[in-house]
Amino acid sequence: MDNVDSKKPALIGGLIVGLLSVIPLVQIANTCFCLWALVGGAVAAKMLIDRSPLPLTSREGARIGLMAGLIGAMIYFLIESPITIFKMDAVLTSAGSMPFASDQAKELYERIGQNSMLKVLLAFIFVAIGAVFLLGFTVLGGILGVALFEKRKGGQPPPPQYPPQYPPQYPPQYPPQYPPQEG
Amino acid sequence: MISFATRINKGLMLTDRRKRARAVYLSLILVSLIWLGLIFAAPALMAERHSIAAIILYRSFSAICHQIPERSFYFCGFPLGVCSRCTGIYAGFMIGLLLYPVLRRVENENFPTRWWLAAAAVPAAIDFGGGYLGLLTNTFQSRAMSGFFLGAAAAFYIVPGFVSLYESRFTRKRDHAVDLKRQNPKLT
Repeated sequence: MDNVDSKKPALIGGLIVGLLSVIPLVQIANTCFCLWALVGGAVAAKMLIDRSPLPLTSREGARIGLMAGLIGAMIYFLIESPITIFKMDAVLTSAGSMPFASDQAKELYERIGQNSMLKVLLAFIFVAIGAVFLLGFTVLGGILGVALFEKRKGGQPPPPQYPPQYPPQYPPQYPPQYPPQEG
Repeated sequence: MISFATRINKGLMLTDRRKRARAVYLSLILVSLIWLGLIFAAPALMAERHSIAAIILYRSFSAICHQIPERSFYFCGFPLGVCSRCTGIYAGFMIGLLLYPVLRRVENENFPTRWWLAAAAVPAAIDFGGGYLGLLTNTFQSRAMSGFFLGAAAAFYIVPGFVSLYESRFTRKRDHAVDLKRQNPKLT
């Protein structure tokens, strides 16, 4: 399996995970059980299945999911970090306006909003945790992708059959032709 | 005729393989417990007025769930970190993990037939799709239960994946050590 090029499937899967998770409106699908991460992992697995001459196992599914997840998480972190820092005020306002938010929480949101360092730090923490979630769900997507799309059965193909090099006088005659005994 | 030493070696290798598979399985249970714990920790921390930690948890889970309060279970007077469907999926995954050794060998790296996963996804797809298209009205219980079955089935595909992934790392290290030994027999 090492000679199958897995870079392109991982890249395509990672782009699906990373880019679709940052595009406004489209990223809402992630709130449905991290859909783009699962789809990205499954797409990477399907592409690898199509390229591989041998049936893929769960191991390769997890591996391609991990590769795609790393790429996707990196793209997500690089693009989403500045966006989250920029809209942190709106994030805190919406969090404070939630019906179950306590008075102490609302007060805390206001204090955070007034402290730039705390806003940036929290933004990085939120995005980093989101990237880790994307990575984890992409691995799951790779495993489930192999489970769903790999239809071939069996492991290694049988070795090629060579004609056996029989020695001369084979098969031996039976019963063997003993020379006549004297005496 | 396999020699006695080879049979002992093979038995030991299988025992080692079982131990590694069990370690992966127990790790998955631990991660799953921690995950469920964090889902319940968000409202508990909010109730205990540890607001920063609660904010971080709620915000983190918002990346993977809509967290609509009307569609979430409540704990300590606050909604859980995720909605009822997601809670059902994760709880079902936990139950699936606990049932796994009863129904399959932990060291088995092969997937079950994929039709079980597809069948488990059908109720969730009907519940979600029907509600989204307005064909039917899904309820709290239908969302949680349909998610529960999907999560429980997913456990039977995720465990062999991780067992196989960990086994491949070990096999690669062992094969590398064998290759080094062949190239340089003086190595101990």
